[in-house]
Amino acid sequence: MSAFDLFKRVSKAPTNPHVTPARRAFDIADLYRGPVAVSERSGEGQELALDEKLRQAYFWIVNTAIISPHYDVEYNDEPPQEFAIGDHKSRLTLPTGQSYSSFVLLPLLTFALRRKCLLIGGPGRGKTASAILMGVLGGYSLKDVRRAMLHGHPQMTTADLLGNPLPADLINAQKVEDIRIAWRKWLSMRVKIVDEYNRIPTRTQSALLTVMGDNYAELLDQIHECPDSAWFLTANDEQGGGTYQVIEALRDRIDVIVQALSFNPRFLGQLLTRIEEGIRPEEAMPKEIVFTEAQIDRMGAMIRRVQLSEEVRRRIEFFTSQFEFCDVAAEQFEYKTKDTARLAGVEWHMLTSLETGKDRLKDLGAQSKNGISVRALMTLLLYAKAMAFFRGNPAVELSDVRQILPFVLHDKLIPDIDAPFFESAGNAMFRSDRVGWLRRLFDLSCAEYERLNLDQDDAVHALTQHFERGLDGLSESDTRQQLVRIERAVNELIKGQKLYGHLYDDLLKLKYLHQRYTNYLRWLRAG
Amino acid sequence: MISAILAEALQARRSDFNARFRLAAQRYPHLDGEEVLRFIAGAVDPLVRAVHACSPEAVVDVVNVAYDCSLQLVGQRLSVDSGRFAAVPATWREVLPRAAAHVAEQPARVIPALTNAAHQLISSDSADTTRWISALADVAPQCASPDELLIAGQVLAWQCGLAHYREGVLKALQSLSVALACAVLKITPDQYETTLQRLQEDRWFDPAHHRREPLRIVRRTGAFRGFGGSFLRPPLLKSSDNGWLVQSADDYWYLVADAFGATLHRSSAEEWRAQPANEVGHVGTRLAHDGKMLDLPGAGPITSSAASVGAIACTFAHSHEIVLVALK
Repeated sequence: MSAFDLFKRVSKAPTNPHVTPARRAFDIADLYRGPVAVSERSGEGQELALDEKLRQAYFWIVNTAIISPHYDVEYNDEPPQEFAIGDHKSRLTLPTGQSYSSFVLLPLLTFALRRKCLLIGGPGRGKTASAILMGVLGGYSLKDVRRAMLHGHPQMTTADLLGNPLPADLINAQKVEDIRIAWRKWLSMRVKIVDEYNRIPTRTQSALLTVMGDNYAELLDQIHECPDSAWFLTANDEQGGGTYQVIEALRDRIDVIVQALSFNPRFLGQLLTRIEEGIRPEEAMPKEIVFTEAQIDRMGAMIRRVQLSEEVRRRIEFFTSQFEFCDVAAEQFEYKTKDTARLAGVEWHMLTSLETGKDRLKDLGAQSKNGISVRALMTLLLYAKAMAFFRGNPAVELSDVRQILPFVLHDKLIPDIDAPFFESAGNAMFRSDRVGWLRRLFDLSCAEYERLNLDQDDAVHALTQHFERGLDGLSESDTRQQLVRIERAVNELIKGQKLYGHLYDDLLKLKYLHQRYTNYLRWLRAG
Repeated sequence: MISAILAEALQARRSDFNARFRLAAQRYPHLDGEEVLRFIAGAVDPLVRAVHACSPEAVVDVVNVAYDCSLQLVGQRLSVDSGRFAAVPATWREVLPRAAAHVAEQPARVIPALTNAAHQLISSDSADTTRWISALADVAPQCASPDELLIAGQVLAWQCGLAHYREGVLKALQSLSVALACAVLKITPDQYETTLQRLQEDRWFDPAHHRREPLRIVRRTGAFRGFGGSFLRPPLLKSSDNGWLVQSADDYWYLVADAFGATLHRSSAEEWRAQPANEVGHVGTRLAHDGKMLDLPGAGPITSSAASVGAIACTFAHSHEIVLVALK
C-alpha cells in the first residue's frame, strides 16, 4: 500500500491541542517528522493516548469515511459569530471552538462506552455504514462485521436471532438441558449491529430485549452469556413507522438516539472520487485507529474517572427536578408525580386543565409529559464524561452536558406539544426539533438556576452537606437544632412561592433529612 | 528529460501513479502536474540513477516512495528551487544520491526523514541548512547503515543550529563509530575522547573554535518579525531551566542555546508570570559579572539580563536581538 493514500490518512497533529506545561524534553526523533509522511515502521511501539486515538478515529471518519459536513455539536472558546437569515430569522452560528458532527461523535462515544445507540434517518444516509465502521473500529474484519449484522425483517424468529438447537441433540437428548445450541456468532461480538430493528416482530423483540438488557441469550433452557458490547441499531423512523411497533422496554434500553442528517450536494466531488477510484472507506480503515479489546476496556475505565464537579452536577439536578412533579396528580406529597397520573391512566389533557395558578410558560415541567428516569440520568452522566474525555479534558464542563443531553433524552423526555411554550412566538419549530428543544430547555433551566443564585444561596445544599458529615457523635441538642433548621428552611422555601418541580424535590429532600435526624433523635433517647 | 531507468519504472506502474496523483489532487488543491514532472526530473531522477548504480533491484521501491513524497512536496509547495524552501529539493539533489545505498535499503524511511529534516532546519530562524546539506552529503558515503546516516543527520542538525537537540544528540553520538563521529565533528581520532567529554561538560564548547576568554559573546539571536524574526517588540527575558523565557508583546517563548545555535519554542504567559525575575547586574550598556565587565554598545541600554546554563542573555532597548555572553 502506498505511503500516500487519501483514505489511509490519519491526522499526525494533535486533533485537539490543549495548553499544556511547556515541554522541556526535546526528542531528536522529531527532526525526522514533518510535512512528508514517514514510513509506518517508525511509528511502531508508540501507543497514542486513548483520547487522542478516539479523536483520530473521529476525524478519519468525518473527513474520509462518512462525508458529514454537519457540525451540530458546537463548542465556543469565544463568543461566536451569528447570522440571522430569512423571514424566520434562521440562526447560523460559526463556532469558535472545535465542534463535532453528532452523527459520528455519538456512535463513537457509544463505542467507547459500550452502550447502545440508535441511528435514525431516511434510507441511504449512512446509518448502516456508520454502524459497520464501528465494528471495523473494534478490530473485526469487514467480512465478520457484515456477516454478524442482524437485518430486521417481519419473518425474523427467535431462532434467527439467537441460534438453533443441534438437530441430533433434538432427537437424542433425554433432558432439555442436553440439547446443545448453535448460538449465532453476533452474540459473542463486542460490537453488535441490528439493522432496521423496527422491522423485527414483537415476539422476537422480546428475545432481543433480554440480550440488550441483561446481556445473555436463552433458548431451550440453555444460557449464552454475551460480552459487554457496543450496540448500534438503525431505523428509518423511530416514531413507530417500521413494520412493528417497537416495545417500550426495548426503546428504553437505547441510550442515545442520533439522526443521520441529509447529504450536502456541495460534497458530491468526494463521492465522485470514491466511485472513480473504487474505494470503500470501510475497507481502508487505517490500523492506527483500530482499538483492541484491552484498549476499549481501559478507555471505559478512564472515562468513568473523568471528574464531574459539584457545580455541573447541581445544574443537572436542578434541570432534572423540573419534570416529574405534577401538583394535581395526587393528594399525598410524595405521589405528586406525572408517573402517578400515567399509572392511573388519567388523560393528559385532564391533568393540564386542572393545573391552575402557575405560570405554565415559566414552568419548564409543563413542557413535558413525563420525568427523567434514573437510567436516563446515569446515561447522561456517562456520556457527559465520555464527551469530556473525547475532548481531552479531565473534567466535565457544563457545555459537555448541554451538548450531550438532547441525544440522551431524545426519546426519554416526551414533549407536550400543546404546552403554551410551543405556542409562543419562535417556539413552534421545537415541536419537530427534539434536539433543539431539549437544548433550549437546558438553557432555560440553567438561566433559572443562575437567577435563583443557587450556587451561592442553597439552604438544602448546606443542610445536606452538614448531614453528610455524619451523625456519629451528634448530641441531642445539636440534632434538635438541625431539625429546627430544616423546619425553618422549609418555611423559607415555601414563603410566597408557587410549587414548581425543583422546589418539590427540595422539599422532599428536606423531609428525608428531617426523618433521618428524627430517627437518630429517637435512637439517642432510647439509648 | 528523465533517464530511461526512471522512465521505465514510471511506465511500469503508470495507472497506479496516475491514480495516486488524482487522490493527491483531492488532498492538495495546489498540486500542479507540471511541477510534479519538473521535480521528478530535477530531484528524483538523480536519486534513481544513483540507486540504480548501487542496487538496481531497489529502483522500483525507491521510485514508489519518491513519487509519493514528490506529490506531497509539490502539493505543499515545498518543491521549488528558489525561495525559502529551496533547501528541500537541494537535499534531494545533493544528499540523497550520495546516500543512495541507504536509500535503496530503506527508501520509505530515509527519503521522508531527510526531507523532513531539511524542512525543520529551514523552519528554524537560526539554523544553517546549506551547511547541513553539504556536511551530510560529505559524510553520507561513510555511513555504514541507514541508522548511522540518520544519526549523522541529527548530529549535524544540532551543529548547524538546532540547539534543543543537544542532549539527545550527545547520547546518540556515542553510538556512531569513532571514524564517523570524527568525520561528523571534523576532529581527528586522537581528539575524540577529549572532545566528547568537553561537549558533555561545556555547553559553550565548539571544537572548531578554541577561544576561551570569559564574558565573550557566543551568539546573537532573535530579530524583528518584519525581517523574518519572531519578535514584534524588543524582547525581555528571565532565566529558566536549561534556558531562558522570553517575552515580546503578547508572545512568550522558551530560548534554548549553546555553542552551535539558539532556538525559540512557544511558551505561555502563565509560565512567564510564574518565573521570578533574577537579573544579572547591568548598568546602561555595560554587563557586570563576578567582578568582570563587558560593554555591549550599539543597541541602547540593556533592558533585561539573566544567567542560565553558563551564559548571560541580554536584551536591549533599541533592538529585537538577544545577545548571549558565555561566562567561562
